Amino acid sequence: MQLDRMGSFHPTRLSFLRVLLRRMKRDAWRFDRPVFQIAPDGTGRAVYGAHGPKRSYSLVCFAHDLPDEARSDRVIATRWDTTFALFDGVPTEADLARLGKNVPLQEAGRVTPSELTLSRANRSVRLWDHVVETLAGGRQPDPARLAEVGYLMRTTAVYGSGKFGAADRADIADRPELAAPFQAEMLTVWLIRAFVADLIDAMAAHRSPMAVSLDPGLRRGLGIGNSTGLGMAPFLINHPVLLNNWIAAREAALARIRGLERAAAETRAAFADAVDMARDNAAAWRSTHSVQVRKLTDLRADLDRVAAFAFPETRPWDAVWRWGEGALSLEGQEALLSLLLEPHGDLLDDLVETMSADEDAAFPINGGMDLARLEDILETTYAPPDGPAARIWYVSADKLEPRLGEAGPDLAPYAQPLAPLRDAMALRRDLAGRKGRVADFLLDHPEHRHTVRRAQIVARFPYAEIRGDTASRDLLPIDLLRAKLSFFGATRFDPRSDRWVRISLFQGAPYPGDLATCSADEWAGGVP
Amino acid sequence: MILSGGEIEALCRKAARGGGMPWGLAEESGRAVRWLEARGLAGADALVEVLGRARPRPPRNEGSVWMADCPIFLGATLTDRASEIAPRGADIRVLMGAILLLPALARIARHQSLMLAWPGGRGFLGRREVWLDGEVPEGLIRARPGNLRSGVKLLRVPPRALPQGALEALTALAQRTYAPAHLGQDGGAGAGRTDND
Repeated sequence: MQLDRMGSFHPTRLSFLRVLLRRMKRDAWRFDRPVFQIAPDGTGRAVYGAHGPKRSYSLVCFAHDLPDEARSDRVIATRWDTTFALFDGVPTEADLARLGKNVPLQEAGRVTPSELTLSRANRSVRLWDHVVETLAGGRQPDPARLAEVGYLMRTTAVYGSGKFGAADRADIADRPELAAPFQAEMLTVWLIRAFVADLIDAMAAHRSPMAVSLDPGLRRGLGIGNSTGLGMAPFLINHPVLLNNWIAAREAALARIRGLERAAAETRAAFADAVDMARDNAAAWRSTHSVQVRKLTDLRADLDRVAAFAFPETRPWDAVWRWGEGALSLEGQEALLSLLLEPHGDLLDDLVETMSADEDAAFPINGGMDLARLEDILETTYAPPDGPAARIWYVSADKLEPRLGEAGPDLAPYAQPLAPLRDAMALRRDLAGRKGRVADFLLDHPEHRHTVRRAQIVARFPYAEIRGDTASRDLLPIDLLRAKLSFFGATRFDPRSDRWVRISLFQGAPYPGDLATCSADEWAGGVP
Repeated sequence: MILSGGEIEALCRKAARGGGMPWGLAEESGRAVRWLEARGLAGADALVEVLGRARPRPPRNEGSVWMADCPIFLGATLTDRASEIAPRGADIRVLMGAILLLPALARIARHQSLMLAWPGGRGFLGRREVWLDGEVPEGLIRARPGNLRSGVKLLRVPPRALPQGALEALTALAQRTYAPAHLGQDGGAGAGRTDND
């Protein structure tokens, strides 16, 4: 899987927020709001409960009064408009008091194994005051302005998996409702969205007795924004088996669809509906980043051509895919993949069960492997790059976040192992002329141990390694971000530079109160 | 401060790297300490001792005894040979931090359960079980295939605080992996001042 293709991924029905909503709908989850204590200045706390067949989860929300000048999306910020933790169960007053002392501090506080995530969100300055004021005045906000931004708040981090003392993934991964990747994080964001919509109504109501609630249709069109930078980029490199399983599920889904001999009339109609929605969404998708602007132009033209494709009677989906491989841009091909998956839930939704990973099981090295076999793996996996590495991934002492710097002797001692292609080339140099087994080689060359591990993983998991140079001058970190975010189900991917993006989650999705009475999937048919 | 398993692993991986280990052995260090601490064993203290004193020289096999000063390197060397060692067992001698060998031997025990013996103590490693009778000392440890359990079965323990001294030492070592601020290059890693919209 190459970086430019990964940087064109769209969300699919296998994306994790879609998985979450389908499961909760299928299992008839109940939702409530046992606590909602918001003062006139917008500060206070709330609890949103989600109750499944066996367990309950609760989003504990804290709203703060943040002056505009203190608001920053950077991970190094220290204050936020709202802060959250997803509690495992139903919290007591003592739990709320403990969380009230820690959650608002985010990284500077501590949570416990009773918490599954820690998160925070900031208001959209462009929208927040406008919406509060218009609602307080008894009117609805301007739909065009809402559509332009797409969210009232954006999260700037959603930490799970043992961060800051929270429960480790390994301790919850055997729960069916959390077995798919990132379900606790997606539940967190979905409940944040509900809280934010309630909060803005409450603030308008406090301001004026004439206030009205946000129109349900406008509310529905709002997602939760997210700002993400380089900090997320290493994840796919650090979780090779997981990456493999995500890509393999997409590929398996596509293969199943292409293998269909015929397409039922209703499936074709559903595909056509999805294409129509995708065209609408592509028209509404805004970005000012030159790369994304070009991609959007390609996408809009490509979707028009997909809409006009004349399907043959026999193996129609295979035909459109093969046509698309030659006729469409990468952006268009990836949109086509998402569109093909959309009407085929019965055929492929079970693949979600293959998308988790046990990285531990792939950790041991097979020291009995012959070095000739290792060389084979390296040769077929890693294409020699052009010239020396231009970049170094490092962690800066002042920000404690991954950074990408110019390669050179100053930064070299701090290089993180995030350029597997470069490490593989170094390994190949030291393997030249060696015979024998991996175990003996690693006694002499422990510095290649992490690279040998990766090579053995990729021999078993063909999509585990990105086929590209993450130390190249041409690297666009946003390609890594987009690939990961597409698996979350993010839409409206809007790069703000080569290194950070804004996206939207759950835009158009049902709210907790709607899920029982509407489809878990139809809102998302148009992918981008 | 109570750390999650993931935090312990990440801290120890960075500390081991900061202490001079190559990345692959640093990864082994993180896993090993996480595994030990999850079972109530003092892995963090042992890693601090090792990082302070051991030179990561390659283990050697002398007179059929595997020996090394670094238990992480030795453990990795043994697990790399898991398919040979599991059916026959091994004699192992490490100079410090012997408890850090246990996670590696437990990995070998996934192939074949192992009985352990050392002067004054015994243990058992099954596919999913760990039994210990006495502390694991520096010195000769004999691992043999077998099913005889001895000692006390170790249960997984809830996350607990690392000893303050170990936490501080590991944190200081981990910081050596961070590039000093003056080397930082403002690469636009995230939103800047213009994000407030």
